[in-house]
Amino acid sequence: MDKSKQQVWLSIREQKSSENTLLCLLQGLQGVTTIIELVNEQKIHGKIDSVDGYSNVTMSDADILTLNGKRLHCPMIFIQGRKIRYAHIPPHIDISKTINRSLGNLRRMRANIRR
Amino acid sequence: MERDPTLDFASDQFDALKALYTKDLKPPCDDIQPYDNLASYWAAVQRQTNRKTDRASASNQPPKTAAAAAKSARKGIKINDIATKSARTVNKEKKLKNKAKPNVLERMKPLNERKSVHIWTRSYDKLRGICRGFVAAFDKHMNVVLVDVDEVYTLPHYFMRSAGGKNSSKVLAETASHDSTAAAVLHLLANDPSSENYSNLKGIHACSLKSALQYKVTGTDQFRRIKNFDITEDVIKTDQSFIIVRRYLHQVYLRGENIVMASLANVD
Repeated sequence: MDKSKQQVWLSIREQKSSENTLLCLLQGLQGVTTIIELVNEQKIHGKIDSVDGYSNVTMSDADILTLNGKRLHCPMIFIQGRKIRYAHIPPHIDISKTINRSLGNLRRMRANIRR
Repeated sequence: MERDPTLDFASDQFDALKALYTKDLKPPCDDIQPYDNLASYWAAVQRQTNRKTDRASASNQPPKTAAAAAKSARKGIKINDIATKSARTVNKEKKLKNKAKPNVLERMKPLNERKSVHIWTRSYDKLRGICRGFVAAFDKHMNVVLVDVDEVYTLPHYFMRSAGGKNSSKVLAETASHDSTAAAVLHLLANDPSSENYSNLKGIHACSLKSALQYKVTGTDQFRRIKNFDITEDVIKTDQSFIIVRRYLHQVYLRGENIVMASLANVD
């Protein structure tokens, strides 16, 4: 399961902001197949590969639905964090658990860097 | 009034305990600093001794020979540093270590229970829609995690030609005759002035959105239902300029940039 999640290198600034904001939730959603809705009313359905400190998301195996009804398929897509409006969270995911888990990961990352 | 020898500070028979319990008894000096307890007195004494050692170490005289002076200068600097690191700075560093750094969960502590909330969302310069849901998490950017969300939003009509214009409004009119709430919604929406007046359109969006939110969708074949990627959306109203869509979402993460306003929803 860990191999499917890409390891993201977060700068110290990004790590701190992830700990203090809901970015940790997005980072906990890595490896989950969801829908991300953009500001331009497009919906992208795919597996979230990685989320960085600026909420930029890379997705793999993505289906993009444009407003005209066109569907495009991309093996990999990079979404600018600022252009995201919604990130749907599947009902089976517990929000507080994912936040706690990703906070733990961030602490471990910090500890590893210190060594 | 004769001075009681037990209460006289200068006498041999001075009784401290008695003096403490007598009211309006002041020591002979005017500018004495009274302390509440022994601990604060000892802390004050410690501070004074620290200051004395700081001054003493600072005024250490250098030795006579140059080599010895250089050696002791290096040593002296070290010794000075340790001595000048007074109790004050050491305590400061201890406090910083022990202070808990707040993470996102601790900052959310004021929100104990999930509150039902109306969140107004925006699309560049327009009001987009209203989300009604329970706030599960939030942060300083106003990013919000909503649970159990009913969302009503508008899209500019030219975006969704496939949604169908005339048919859906006909269907809406037919159902209105049977259902009183539908009739009320239709009446409200029908009273929108023409789309030429753009500034009015923004205001009307708000009213129609709220009424559309309160209207409960019954039956599956009354409105045009679109299903994309496991999300079913109902196109409630179409017009020359905009369409209103309504949908239900289980859990959403909404980015704070898109929020205009949040208000508490009254639980009916």
